[in-house]
Amino acid sequence: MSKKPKRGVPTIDMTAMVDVAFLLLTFFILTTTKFREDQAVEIDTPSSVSKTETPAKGLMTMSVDKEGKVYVGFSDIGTRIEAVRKAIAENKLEVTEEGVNFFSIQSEFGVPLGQMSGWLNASDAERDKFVQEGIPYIETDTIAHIGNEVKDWIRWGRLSDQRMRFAIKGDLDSEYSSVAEVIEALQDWKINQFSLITKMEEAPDGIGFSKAPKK
Amino acid sequence: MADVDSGGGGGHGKKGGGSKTKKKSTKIDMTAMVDVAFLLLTFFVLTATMTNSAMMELTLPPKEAEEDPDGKVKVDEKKILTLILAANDTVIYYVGITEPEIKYTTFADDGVRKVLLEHLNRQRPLCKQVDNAKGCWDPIFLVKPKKSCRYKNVVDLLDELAITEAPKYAMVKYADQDSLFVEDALLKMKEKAESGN
Repeated sequence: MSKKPKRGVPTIDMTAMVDVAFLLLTFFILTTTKFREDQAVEIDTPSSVSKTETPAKGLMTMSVDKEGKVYVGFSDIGTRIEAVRKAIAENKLEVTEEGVNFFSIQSEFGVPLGQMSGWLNASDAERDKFVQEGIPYIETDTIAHIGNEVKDWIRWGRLSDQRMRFAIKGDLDSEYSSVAEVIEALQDWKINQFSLITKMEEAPDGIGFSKAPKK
Repeated sequence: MADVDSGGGGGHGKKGGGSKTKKKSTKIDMTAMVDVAFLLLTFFVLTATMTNSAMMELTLPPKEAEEDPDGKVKVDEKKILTLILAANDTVIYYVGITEPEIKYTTFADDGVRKVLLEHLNRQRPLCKQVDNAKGCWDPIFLVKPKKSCRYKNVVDLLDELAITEAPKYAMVKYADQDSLFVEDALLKMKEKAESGN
């Protein structure tokens, strides 16, 4: 080819890059099963070698953050609606239909019952500014057993879904005392089997008792 | 930008390149398509929830069983290793209940895992779940987390028990008498050491 000093814009062959981009695109489209829902709180869970995956359905999660605040989440939309209706009926709260709909799209919430109607009936702009202060788990009245709202939510959840499974999602740095309170609340309802949500981690090799060399 | 040059373009190289009548370029401008592709790619990458959350199954003894003294089963105390999780990532551990030797460890590399393996290996062979023949070793681990300990330590210890394949372990509530028990045992250890000197 003869040299020409000015040939305009040089072209770069991007075919390979485009191929890779589309491959990745296809991969992510196919693997995305569920979009991340709005999280009320960011929790950094500890890791374990457990391989059991978290089920996407029929799960009630109680999250405990660094400061010991507790948030409750139901995995199923139907359960959310039923549970919140039970809460509304039992506490004689006044919540609009629109408020219930708003509740049904919350994957997690940490609003005490006292602020519930205010939060659910608020306008979108007000909700954005709303600070969720966590669900109280200390009984205010130890004789009548009132005030442990986490315990109440467990009951409403269980009533809404008989086959509900329970999981605790605690933060790395949360103190055990608040997690113990949640466990206590579960055990008060005779729920002695539950799960702890953790991050997956590879098990170290050759540590297990059966794998260790025999003497 | 990103476009496919399908032969005809510069007229260089291959056979048909020479004919001057076919100089019409068949370049397709793919810029827009690639833009959209990358936009979608970015979107999916950012929204993708990585499924890296696992669940650790936990079964606790029912509350009534703890309070009921008749429901207690007698076991050889030498089988039982009690691990108390305390504040600042420390683990207090002891074997048995009569004048135990209180020891401390941490979650460091040769910390609690070594303790667990030592107890597991104290006597071979290990009992299989079915046959409970005499002379086989059937260690039991009790985890007692103090309220002041970090939640991470609880999960880490349960995980260590799973890693070392401990056959029997349970998480029990840490009660006030436990701290009295530990203090008492520490005092007795001190007395022993002094009388020994």
